Amino acid sequence: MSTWLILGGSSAMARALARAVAAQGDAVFPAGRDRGDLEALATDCRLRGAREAEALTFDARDPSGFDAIRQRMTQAKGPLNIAVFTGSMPPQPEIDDDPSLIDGVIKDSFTGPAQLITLLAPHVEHTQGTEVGVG
Amino acid sequence: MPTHKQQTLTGWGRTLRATSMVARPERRRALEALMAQRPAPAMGRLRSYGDTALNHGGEAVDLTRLDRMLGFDEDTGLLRVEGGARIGEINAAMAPRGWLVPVMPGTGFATVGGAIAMDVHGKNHHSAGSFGEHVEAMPLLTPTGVEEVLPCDPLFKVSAGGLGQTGVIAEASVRLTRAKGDVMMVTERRVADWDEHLALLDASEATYTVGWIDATAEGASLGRGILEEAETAAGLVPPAKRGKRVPFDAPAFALAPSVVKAFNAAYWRRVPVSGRTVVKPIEDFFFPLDKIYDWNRLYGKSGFHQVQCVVPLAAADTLKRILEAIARTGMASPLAVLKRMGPGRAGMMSFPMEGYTLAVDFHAAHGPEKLAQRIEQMVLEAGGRLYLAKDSLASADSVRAMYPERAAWADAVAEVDPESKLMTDLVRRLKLREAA
Repeated sequence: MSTWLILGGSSAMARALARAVAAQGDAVFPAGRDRGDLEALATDCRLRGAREAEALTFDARDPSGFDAIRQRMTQAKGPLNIAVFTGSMPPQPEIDDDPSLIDGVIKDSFTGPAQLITLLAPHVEHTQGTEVGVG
Repeated sequence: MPTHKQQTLTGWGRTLRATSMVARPERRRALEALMAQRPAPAMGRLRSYGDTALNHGGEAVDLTRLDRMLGFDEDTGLLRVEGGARIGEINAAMAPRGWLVPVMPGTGFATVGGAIAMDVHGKNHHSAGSFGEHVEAMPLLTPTGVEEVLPCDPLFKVSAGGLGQTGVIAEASVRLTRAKGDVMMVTERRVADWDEHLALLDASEATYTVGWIDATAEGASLGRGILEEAETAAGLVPPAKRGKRVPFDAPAFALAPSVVKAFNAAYWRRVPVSGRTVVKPIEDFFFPLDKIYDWNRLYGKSGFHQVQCVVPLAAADTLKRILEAIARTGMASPLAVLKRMGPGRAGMMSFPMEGYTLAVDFHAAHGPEKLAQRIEQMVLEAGGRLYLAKDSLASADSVRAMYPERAAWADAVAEVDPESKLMTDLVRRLKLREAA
């Protein structure tokens, strides 16, 4: 019985993964910015058989929230797996007009999740979990 | 707001096509924004056979991503679920908890929104009524705003079975039914002919009852088939096998009359003379064809039509004459279903009426149009009606005459959709929203 932290939990692929592991009875924590949407997914996962399911707030551009996620994950049982579905890409014309938008792309797609995973890595290792990145 | 993409779509029968600009919102908020700015008819998994969900040259809202269960009350069995959720998925999650979707159509791929918009029925219609009768609330996204619709509201009867003409059914509260367990105890028996078939259907006290008819059988064997009666039960059976795909459109001979005739005879003899009781996974009983994901391709490129009609109890003889006409043409496919319906219906345009219903598939390549016209005429004269979720062939005049509340329904629809933004190909073809 594993625990899954799913970053970018509102995406279609994330939803499919969350449901698949919920049906096995795993614990599922979809994380992202759209709290209402993630809570709906968490309820759906509980009804499909997840041992536990809870929406978590994760904003890749705001590391101040990362420690709360770390604390919550250290309470969860079983191997901790992290699946990453975050990422953003504004339309090219918008980037052409404002190249600083690239900063956000890097934070959403790389540094944000990487920082959180680094915080959680000892726990993942300790529980013999896995990290999965989806580009 | 989600972007629109051009798609060419067909109903399940693959005879009618439409090219539309389709938007597929991922979240409820996006759906609401879309309906506020560019209202369009909803579509689900396109399991209706004809053009109920098609909108050629217009726009459509694909609801399949809004498919989550939002809450469940173990005490009352009330499930709050998004409109794009599939009936089969709900069952798979809830049956192990001892709950079932109260009314199930023949495919688990049908969505909750579609089940309400078509007010579908199942093998328990005689006792449980139609799907819409189990809906306790639904937020409706109409072109004029969001409305929470309750069964006591006049708009409920307009919307249940309302072909999506009043708005997008974003979610619904559906009262699930208690199940003894997550398997089905199914008793199958051979039925020799038409009279025995009706007698057994009339006498059946089972919760779920359906007759399979060999529509190729003629003469003394006319109406022969297999009666299935079932109850939920607790037990252990291996889970249903994973579905298979049809890799290509079947060639024309696959469902040639001689092949169908031989298949049906073998299918009938499969059940021993003395009958038998078998235990099946729930989905095998309710959705036997779902195991072959795209079985509609078995009819080849030209597709197929299904005609489903219901006639009042007293007009059972008409149904027998319809079956005779079908058998004589040799056009029947393996799938023909006979059932006794109860009176239950939730809306003004709902299909059910107390009587007998017959559903038969026809290969489009065999040219069943004339036969379908004849059936339509006989059903009309018998005071019965055709099921719009299956229809691809009917004429406007007949259908308008078969649904006595149609004109009042059209008036009520015009109030919520005054600019006719939600019209679909079926509604146009059958002139359902035109004044008397």
